[in-house]
Order: sequence, then structure tokens, then C-alpha cells
Amino acid sequence: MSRKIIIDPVTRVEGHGRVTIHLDEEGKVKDSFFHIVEFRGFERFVQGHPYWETPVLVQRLCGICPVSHHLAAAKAIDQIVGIDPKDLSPTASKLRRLMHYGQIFQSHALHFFYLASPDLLFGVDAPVEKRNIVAVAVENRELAIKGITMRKFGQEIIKAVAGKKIHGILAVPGGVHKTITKEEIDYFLDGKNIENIDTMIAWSQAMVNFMKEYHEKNRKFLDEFAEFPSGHLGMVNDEGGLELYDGKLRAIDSDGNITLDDISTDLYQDYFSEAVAQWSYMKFPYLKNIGREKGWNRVGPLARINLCDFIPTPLAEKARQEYFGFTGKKVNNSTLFSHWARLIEVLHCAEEMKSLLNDPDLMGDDLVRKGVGRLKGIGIIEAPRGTLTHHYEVDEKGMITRCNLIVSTTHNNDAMNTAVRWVADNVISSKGTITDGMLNQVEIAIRAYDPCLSCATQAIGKMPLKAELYNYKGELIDERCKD
Amino acid sequence: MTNGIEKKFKEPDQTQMLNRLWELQKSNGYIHDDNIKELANAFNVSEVEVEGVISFYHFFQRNPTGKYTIYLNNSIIADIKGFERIKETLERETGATFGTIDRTGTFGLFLTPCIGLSDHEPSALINFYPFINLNTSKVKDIIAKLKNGASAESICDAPADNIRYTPPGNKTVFFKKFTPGSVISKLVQATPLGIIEELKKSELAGRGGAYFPTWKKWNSAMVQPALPKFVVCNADEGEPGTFKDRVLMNREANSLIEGMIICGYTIGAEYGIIYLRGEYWWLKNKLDEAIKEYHSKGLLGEDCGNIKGFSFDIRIQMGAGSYVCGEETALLESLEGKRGEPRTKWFFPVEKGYLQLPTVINNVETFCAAAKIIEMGAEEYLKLGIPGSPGTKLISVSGDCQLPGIYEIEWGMTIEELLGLCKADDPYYIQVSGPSGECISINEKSRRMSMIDLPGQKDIRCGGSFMIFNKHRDILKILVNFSEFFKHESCGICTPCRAGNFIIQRKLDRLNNGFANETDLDEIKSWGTIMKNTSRCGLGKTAANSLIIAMDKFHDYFKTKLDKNYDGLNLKFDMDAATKDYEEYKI
Amino acid sequence: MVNITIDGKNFLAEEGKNLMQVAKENDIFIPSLCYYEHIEPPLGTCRVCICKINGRFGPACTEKVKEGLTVEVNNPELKDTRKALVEMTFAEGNHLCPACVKSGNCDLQHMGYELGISSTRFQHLFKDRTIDYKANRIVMEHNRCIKCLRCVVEVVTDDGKKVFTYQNRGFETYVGVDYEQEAKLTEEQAVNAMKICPTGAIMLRGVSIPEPFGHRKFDMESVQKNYNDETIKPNGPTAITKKRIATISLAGCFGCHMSMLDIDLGLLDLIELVSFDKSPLTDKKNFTERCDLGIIEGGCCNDENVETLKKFRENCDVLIALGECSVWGGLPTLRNSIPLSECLDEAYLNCVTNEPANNIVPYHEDLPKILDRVYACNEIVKIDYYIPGCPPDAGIIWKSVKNILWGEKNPILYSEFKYD
Repeated sequence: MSRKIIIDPVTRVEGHGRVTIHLDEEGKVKDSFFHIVEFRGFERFVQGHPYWETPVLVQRLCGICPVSHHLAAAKAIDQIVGIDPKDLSPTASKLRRLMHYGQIFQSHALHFFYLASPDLLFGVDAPVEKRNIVAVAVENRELAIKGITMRKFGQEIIKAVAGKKIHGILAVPGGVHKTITKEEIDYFLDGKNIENIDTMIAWSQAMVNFMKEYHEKNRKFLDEFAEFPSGHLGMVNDEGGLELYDGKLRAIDSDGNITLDDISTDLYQDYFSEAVAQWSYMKFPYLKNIGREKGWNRVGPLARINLCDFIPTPLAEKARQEYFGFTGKKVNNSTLFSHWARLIEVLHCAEEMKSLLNDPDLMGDDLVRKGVGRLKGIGIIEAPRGTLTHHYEVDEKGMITRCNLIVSTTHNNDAMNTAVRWVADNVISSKGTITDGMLNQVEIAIRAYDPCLSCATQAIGKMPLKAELYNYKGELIDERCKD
Repeated sequence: MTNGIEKKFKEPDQTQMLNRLWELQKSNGYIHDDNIKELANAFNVSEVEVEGVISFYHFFQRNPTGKYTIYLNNSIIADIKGFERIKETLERETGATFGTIDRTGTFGLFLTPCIGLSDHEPSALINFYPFINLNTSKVKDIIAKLKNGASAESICDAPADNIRYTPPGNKTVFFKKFTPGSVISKLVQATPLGIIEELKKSELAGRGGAYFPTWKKWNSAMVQPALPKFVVCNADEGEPGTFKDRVLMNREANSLIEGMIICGYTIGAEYGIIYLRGEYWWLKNKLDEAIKEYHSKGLLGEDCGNIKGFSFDIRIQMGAGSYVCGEETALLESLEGKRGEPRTKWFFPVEKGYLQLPTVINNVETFCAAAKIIEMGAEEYLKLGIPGSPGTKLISVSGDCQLPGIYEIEWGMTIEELLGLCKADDPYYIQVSGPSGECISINEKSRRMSMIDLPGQKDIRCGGSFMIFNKHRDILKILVNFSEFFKHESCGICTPCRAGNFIIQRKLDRLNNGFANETDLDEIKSWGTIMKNTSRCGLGKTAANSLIIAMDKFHDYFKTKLDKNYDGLNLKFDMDAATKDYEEYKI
Repeated sequence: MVNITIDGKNFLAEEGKNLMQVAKENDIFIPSLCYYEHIEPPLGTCRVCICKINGRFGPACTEKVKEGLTVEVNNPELKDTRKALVEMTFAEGNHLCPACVKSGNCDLQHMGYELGISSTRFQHLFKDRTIDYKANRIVMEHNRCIKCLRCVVEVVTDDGKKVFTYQNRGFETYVGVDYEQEAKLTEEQAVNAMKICPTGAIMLRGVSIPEPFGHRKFDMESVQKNYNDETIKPNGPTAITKKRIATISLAGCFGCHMSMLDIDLGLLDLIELVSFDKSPLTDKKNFTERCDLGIIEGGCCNDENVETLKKFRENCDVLIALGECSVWGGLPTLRNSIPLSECLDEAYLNCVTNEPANNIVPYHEDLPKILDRVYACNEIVKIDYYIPGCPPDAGIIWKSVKNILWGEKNPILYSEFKYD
């Protein structure tokens, strides 16, 4: 008889999600869904609030990546006071970058050590009691200490620039409202109270090496698991190198052909649409010129490493070359390689942080700049999980009239659903007995995308986009345009 | 003796604010935006201040209120006498819904709290004229006549005074025939101190409900050096269920005026103001006439009653629909042309009252009593009532009884006796002194009514309002009505009353829905006590009184309203109601 | 000079001086929101300074000291009453400290910290109020106004006209702004208006958060000599046995969980003392055993949150509401004054033009139903303890947990007790 398998909730991810897998009478997978079950309504209730309070408000979208939202909103609000990213003072720009790298460092460390490591260390069939950070701490204390300390380092960087580890404040419209002192910088350089930045770089390098070995040992499984074609979206700098704070948007298809050619972030509306499904509160973004079926993109470390031409820091660049040397492919479409890509980014961030910490501009006193006010602001940033878009419109009095947020994980909606489907088809379908280990693999697939599901349920608000509507079966019912 | 002011004192312009607003409200049916600018300029204040005054008072409206503005009373007494039917009928007959005007702009329907006609419920004011003892056919008839163009004045009722009882043996104090000037003539021999002595002997205390010794108040004002001084009569009878002052002003305006004059003489004041609630516009003429008569007899104006150097004059200031303006200091603010927000106790009115000058404020009944006491002499007065509580008191009885109306009782009468006199119909729950007073159950019928207020002594001090409810009335409905009333009437200036009344109402909702548990009852008690201890004025202090008292006296009843399944851990939660909005999206 | 008694102790004071000033001069802390020395007569609107004066309840701010005055300040009933009034002020407005420019410099927040208010006994009222942008420089945030009356009294144009006045009455009272008069204010006067407002109700257009965390007026130090946080009363000493903890994030952003992890290496010691049952950090999707402690982050915004919360109540001995969202609803309550249909319509129906028949709003058997508003946890189940913060610092979280589980007394510092 047909049945529905439910995995609820998906654990060791941020936020709430549920997987349902529908089997027919023979136990063959008919359908699978990754439902996002949260809805908070930021884009609606931010309306009516003043723009100068927005960066502090919207960072509460997420407790793991508040900095991403804070900075993306700050970039958008900068535009509203007439400041584009290039107009910021060096001090403001670099402080924001330091905060950004700090939080990516922290967030990736959190994801890898606290959330994903049990999967990697104990294997897909590990018993439930073992699949958590506590077991990792018990079995491999050294690794746990490294992971905890790396996260701590990132959090301390954030605290030094923003006053608080989580939901701090650094950015104000047009700049920042504080700098960092010499003592605070030395804290990260001298190694007296916490391992210093060089140690962080060394540990990051060690983790990258560890991942390479891990892949060598488990090659077939990792190459094949949830491998499927898709587009990849991310940001690059003017030379095409990996860029996390401010750059141009690039997308490629699963073979590496350019589908979005380094466009300015201010033009994102011209290129993207979002679809609505009956069964999830999260929407489905895709590139208009390609269409709903194939136009969706993966975002995050896997995508970013795929589409950049190089990484501007030496050790990370070397690691990137080794990564592609390992696969031999131009583009990597295997879900579980995300972890390796993520660690390469950790290394990159550590290197960037080192050079910033040694930059005297951090202690400058030119903090805020003013320009000619505008009524619209767009801020796009590469959050740990992928491309994050904040778009605000205000009236002349400073009240937010419209807000559009496309959160990183939303882009990965289709990817995660596809990954779930892959596991369903290849691991669960027609298998007779469904074991806990099989269901665990579903979550392992989702978890590789480091989803931030609370963030992602912002799919509400006026969108000057084309929207296409699908019914339960995925049939296109209608499409509408609005400018 | 008295004054000696060379120059006539001029009240600041802004004190005319309410009068000007009334002119505009009555002639146009509402206050225009242009009017606001005009008034702001006239009184040299900012427009937002004028708007603040308008938005405070119930009867000043910024939108059209129709050619015939109908205010229907929604007090609890009206409710038990058929308010709902009248409401429906009015809407049907006029084509308007409550809170709006009909399409033609002929009728505006609005609700209003007690208008002082509890013995004639259901009742309403149309263009501020009284329409009483309403039933559906009467309403139809009235609306038909108005549609034909009749003026409200021409078809309104003249509410009967309903004086049902005075102490037998012609021992009435208030309703004995009174000749204007009969007491003023005594003033020639009397001294201010002498009058104060008489009042002290008589133990007369403020009849508005606070029962502050009258002699003390007048004495404190008397010794104030500042001039000029004012005598203010609080005719804002707003406590639901009270209508004794209405009757006094209708019948005994003379003793009221005389009482004010005596006060003026005693404390050294030249000016008297009667603050008359807006709901009693229809009584204004009578008072005006009485004042005119006093003038013509030389009893008001220069050298009143031939007392050289003693000038006294009285004007009437209309209120505009605000219960809190019955509170002394709120009344003063209203007199000054501002929002009726009670003051702090930084200074008392006797020292700094109206316009920061010495002011005595007393209730209508107090002034009438003062006049009568000086006329008959304190010794005679002491023969009435009981030791410790001499004299008589006016009680306005309404509700489930056959003879609602005015009862002048000697202090010392028991509840049971009064219930017998008014032929109460199976009384069960009695609200004494209005919603801000206390509730008693029929088990307490042997208690006496008196001013004696000692710990352990079981007497009840009644301000006037006496509302009777029989066993079939829902106690919670009564209390919810009171809670709504206080929420509507709170002035909003202090947190415990402004927020507290709203919070208490939410609790009552839970009780009504059967969602409450014992903790909720305890919380109501404790939160009500906080309101009582911390509010700025009597409204906040007494708003939760009845609720707290009722929960003890009628505990069994309240228990039936609680959630029977409460396990101490899970609050009752209405999931259906909470998901109702979302369910509308079900395909 | 006259003799007065405060809490049984004798003091000498200048006759006629305000009791609040006398108390301050003698290091006796009487909380207040609307008392300002220079305003006479005192505003007397907040009622927070309530004391017992000569045996009767009365505010300290309207009391002038005279011979023989007897004052009670610190008995348990008075302390609780004052706390209740500040709580009432919080519950009446929509005070979201995390998103407010005044946070850290706010008098209301300051009183909350001084009195150790981690939750309000009153359900928040979530009244729909607007933000008034119409004036020239001043933006009036009505959600934050505590109606202290100060701006009404003090903000006056050079030609003596008031800029602010109360409108309506009772619960509908709000501070109206006269746009014409406001335009006449000088820059300095406008800045002053923002400064004198005790909360973030009066803002200046475009002026953002002035100082960073840790440097704001009320961040670090209490004004009381003996600041004593009594919010978490320990259960009593118990033997140090291993305890089971379950955690959940309902409608939260996960920040509180992240803050729990900010004990960093302390985690390695912690896992000797606790084991985690159902939690987003473990793979236990359901309760396997009864737990000693349940930590709840986030309020309830859909029916599943409610069911999950009830399950936690059933399976845990003690429940802690962690963070502003679970304590009273927090940031998601910004949608409470907006009808749900508006939120959903705007999201899924209005972003395209017309043809409502073809537009879908997600509704599915596998999706939870969204509630009409966000509910705090204590509206659904009994909550035993509250830890405020957005997110609370790791220090305050674990001190409280240790207090509760093992009776370890760890005083919570003023600088740790924050709402943002």
C-alpha cells in the first residue's frame, strides 16, 4: 500500500524543515518534498519602520548569520543615503569586511564541526545517540577543541567590531559607528588569550588537508552521492576572483558555461523570478532567461568555488587548484563536495582576516560618509550560505515602503529538493525495509547545503518580478508580470 | 470678611474653550478643521492643543453627527431594561448604524454611558434633550416625527423626579419648601467662623461620595491669603446609577444657589461656577432662570442680600461628556479649557485650584444640604439620623425594583429596609455607590447605611447610586459592563489606570469564555490592588474594586466560570480561533 | 532642616525638598520613569516611585519633605508593586529593544534592568500604533511612548506654543504632534526633544544608533549600590548528578541556541554534567526520556509550535523561556498588529497582477497552520523561568541553568542582564 515517510524535524540544521517521501504500492518513490514550515513575515512588517533602524532589525532573521543580513541591509541602506560600496571610507569598508570574514569563518566552523562532522566521522549508518557534537567531543577531543576555538575566534572578531557576538551593531547608514582599538587587534595577533590568526590559518589548512584525505578514502560514495546538474550562482570581483563582500553576480550552468555574465548587483531584478508552491512557505528563484525548470541555481561554497576563476589569497588558491585537480572536472556538481569547498573558504577567510588585522586603516577616524539620498537601495552580499539579496524602498520621509529579501537558502530550495529526490530514488525507493540510516542520508544531503531555514522564509513582500505559479503537481498554471 | 478687589477679575480666554466648542458642535453638528485653526488663533495656543481638547470629550466630534444626534445610554441598567431591542429598533428606523450617520445625514447614532436617567431606562438624548422609558413603538413614533421635521425639543420628555420616599413626619431636609434669600438674610448676623462651626457640628461631609468634612474644606479655603477665590459646584453627576443631583437641580435649584452663596461668603469668594455635565443640557435653562431670579431679587451680584462689600456671581460651565471630570482636579482642568486630566496632589484645590487660586469644590447635594442646615440650624439637623452619622441622604435607586427613584433616608436605615421601600424584586446583587463603589450580596441586607467608617464596623457609606439586580442577572455581565465603562472613561494620564483597565478587561474576556483558572482570579485581585494603590485619581483607584469584592462575595459563581480541565501547566488555548484566519486559505 | 524616617532610619533633610531628591542624596534607590528634578509640579504620570508615606500609598515624587515624615520604600509589597508598574509599561507598548535607536540609553529599559525584570506578568497588548513621519525633523514612534508627559510640558517653540499634546483619552491616548509648530523648532531644540524623551519614541530623521554596545549609558553599571539580581531563585542544592536537557527553537532565529554554544570550550566540561535529549543539535527528533530541563527559544507562530511546546511541558520538569521571543514574543510580534491575511496576501497574491482565482497561498496537509498572531510561550503553558536577551549572553544562560539544576548560586551581573 502506498505510504508517506516523514522526517520531522530535519535536525542539525538551522530552522525548521520537514521531508515527506511518497511511496506507491510497490514501495517506489512517487514524490518527495522538502517542506519549509516556518513563516515569520519580515518583508511585510518591516514596512512602516524607519530605514535607519533596519540593519539592526533585520539581522534578527537569523542567529547564525546575523552579520550577513546586517551587512546586506547596510549596503542597501547606504544606497538610500546616497553611498555606493565604493564611496565608503576605507576604515568603514575594511571594518565591515573584517566582520564579514569573521562571521563566515565562524559560521562555516559551526556548520562543519557542530552540525556536519558527526555525519563525516561516524558514517551514514551511525546510531542516533552518536550523531551529535557531544559524541564528536568524546571521540575526537582534539578535533572538537579546534572546531570550538575556530568558531570562538570568529565570534570574538565579530564582538570586537560590533560590540556583541550575536546581533551586534557595526554598520550605520553610510559607514560604521565605531572602530577597533590596538588592544583588540593585538588580542587576535599575540596568541596570549586565544590562539592567534596564524594558528587559525594553520588549522584551516589542516582541515582542508583532512577533507582531501577523507575524499580519497571515500571517493566513490562522495563523488556519486546526490550528484545532479544545476546552475551555480555567486559573486566575483572585477577580475573574476572569489569575492564575498561586494562584487558582480555571475552564474554558470552545470558544464561551466556562463548564464549570468558578471552583472551589477543593482540589476538583479531584471534577471530573477520566484515561483510559489502549494506545499512550502519558501519560494523558488530562477533565472528568467533560462526558465523555471532549469534556471535555478545552487549557491554557497560549492557554487562559489565552481564559478570563480581564482581565489585572491595564496593558500586558499592552492587548495582550490588541488580540489579541482582531485575531481578533474571544470565544475563540481556533487552535493557532498560542499564540505570541502566550505573549508577552502574557511582558509580564505582566515588569510583575509590576517591581512586586515595588520592594516592600520582599521583604526582610522573617517567613519561615516553622506551622499545624495535615494528612494531605493539594493545590497547583495555572499553570506556563508550563498547569495543574499536585500532590497528596500523608502518614501521621502524615510519610512520603508517596500522590502524584498531573497535569502541564500531560498536559492538552494530546488537543489535541496533535488537532493532529497536523489536519495529517495537511489537509496529508499523499492527497498522493502527502510532503515534509519537511509533516512539519515536524506538529512545528510540537506545538511550539506548548510541551510538556514529561518532566514529563508521571508518569501513575502511586493516583488517587482515575474512570478509563475505551479500547482501541487508542478504544472504551470499561470504567469504574471509586474514591474 | 471678604474681598476688596478694585479691578474686576478676568478669566483667561482659554477658559472659554469648551463653550466655544459647544457653540460649534451644536450649530454645525461637528467641529470643522477650519474651526480648529480659528480657535487656536483665538486662544493663542497650537492647533494640536485644540485637537487634544476636542478628542478628549465624548460629545465633541470631528465628523458630522447628523441633524438629529442620538446618544443612546448603554449603562447596565439600560441593558437589563431592554437596551438591545432599542438599539436594533433605532438602527432599523433611522437607517444608520451605531457610530455613524445615515446616508442622508439626518440621524447620527452613538452610544453613551449613564445619562442620569436610570429610573427611566431605556433612555436616550436626542440633540441633548431627554427621551425616556423607551420601547420599540415609542422609538418608531419618535423617529417618524423627527423625519417629519419636528425639533427634538418639541417632542422630548420631561423626566419625572420620582421622589418616592422622605423620612415620615415631614422630616425631609432637601424637599422642604425653600424661599430664596431665607439663609442669606441670616448671614448678616453670622460670621464665616460661625458658619464653619455650624457645619462642623452638623458633621456634613462631601456628598459626591468622598465624604470629606465640609467644614474643613471651607475652613482651609477661608484662611488662604490669595485672591480671588472661587466656589465651584460639581454638577458632573457621572457615576452610573446616580441621578439625585438631577432631581435637586430640577426642583431645588434655589437651595443649590443659596448654598454656593453661603460658601462664597464664608471663604471670601466672589465667583461661583456650576460645572454642569453635558448630559444635563436640558436642565440648564432651569438653572439659568433660577440665577436670573436671584439677580433680580438682589441676592446675587453686588452687595448680595444687602450685605455691604459682599459680591457674588454664578455662571454655568457645561461639561462635554467625561466621567473623570467629576473628579475635583480634573474638573478644574476642564474649567480652564483643557483636557480633563486630574492633577497630582502637589497642591490641593483649596490652596491652588481654579487658575491656581483658592477654590472650594463641592457636590450639588452638599451645597443644598449646607443651605438647609444653616437654615434649620445644626441642632435640628442632629435630631435626624443616628449618633455618629446625623442627617439624611439622597439615594437614587434603580434596577430590578418596582419603584425606582429618589429616596431621602435618615442615616442608619438598613439595606433591607430600603429594599422593602423600593419593592425590590428578588434582589441578589446590589451595587452601592456605582461601579466605583462596592457590591453587596443579599446576605448583607442587615447592614446599615451610614457615614461611620470604622474598622470592624459593618456600615455602608453610599454616595447615592444604588443599583439592584435580581438572581437572574449574570454577575459577570454586570462587571464587564463596569469594566468597559472605566476603560472608556479613563483619562489616560497615568499608567496603572490607562493600561490596567485594558489588562483587566482582557482577563474578564478569558473569564467570560471559560478560559480562566484560579490563577487568573488571583491575578485580577492582585493587579486590581496595584491599580488601587498607585493610580493618580479616584477613577483608577476604584475601577477594580467591585471586581475584587465580587470575586470574594460571589466566589461560588466565579468558580463555575473557570476552566474545569486546568491542570496547572497547560493554559486553555483556542486553537480554532487562532487558526481561523489561516483556514480561509484552504483550497 | 527636618527629621524624617525612611525604612526605619532617620535622616535630616531640607524642609520642602522633594522626597525623591532627598532619597537620592542618601543613596536610597527609588525607581521612576517620569521624575525630573527641574519640572515643577512633578509630572506624576508613571506612578513607579510609589512608596508608603505616613502609612498610605503615594508617589514619592509629589511629596515635599516635612517634619516627622515617615516613609517606607523597600518592603516586599512596594517592591513588587513598582516592578509591576514598569512591567505594565512594557506590556502596554510595543517595546522591541533590539530594534530601537534608544536601546542602551533608554530610561524604561534602565528601570527594567535595575528591577531585574526578565518577563512581564501581564500579557503584552500588541495594540496597533503608527509611526508618524509627517513632521519636519521629528519622527514619532508611538509604539514606544510611555506617556510620561515630559515632551508635552517641555517642548515649546520660541513663541510659546506647544509642539506635543495628548490626543484622545484612556487607552487610545497618544501624543499628537503639531507639524506647523514642530517646523518652527531650531535644530538644537529638535535634538533636545529627542534627548529628553525617556524612550525611543521621539527620533530624529536619519539619526542612527550613537554608541556601540558596552558604551551606552545603561549598559555596564547599576545605579544601585547593592545591585542584586533575584530573578532566578535556585531550586535548592542538589547533588551533582548528570542531568538531561532538551532544547528547541520554535519561532526563533536560532540566535539563542548559538549563544548557548558561546560557552565555547566550556562545552567540553558541560557535557560531563548534562546530556542532551531532543534538540536541534542532536538527531533526537522526539523525547526518549523525561528531561530535567527544557529550554525553549522562540514564541509560537504556528500550530505545530504550540503542539511542540505542550510536549515539552509534558516531558520536562522545568521549562525555561530563553530570549525575548519566547519570553513575550519578541521581534516576530511586529506582525501582531497586521492581520494575517494582509501578510499572506502581500506575499503570494499581490505580487502579481489580478486573477485571484489563479493565485495560491501555500496551504498543504504537511504544512503547519499559521496562527493569527505570535503568542508568547507563557500564553500556552506554564513557564518556570525567564531569561531575557536578544540573544542572552552565554554567561547569563549557563549561570541560570546551573542555578536551576544544581542550586549553584551565581549572581547575575548588571552588565549581563540586557534586553538586546
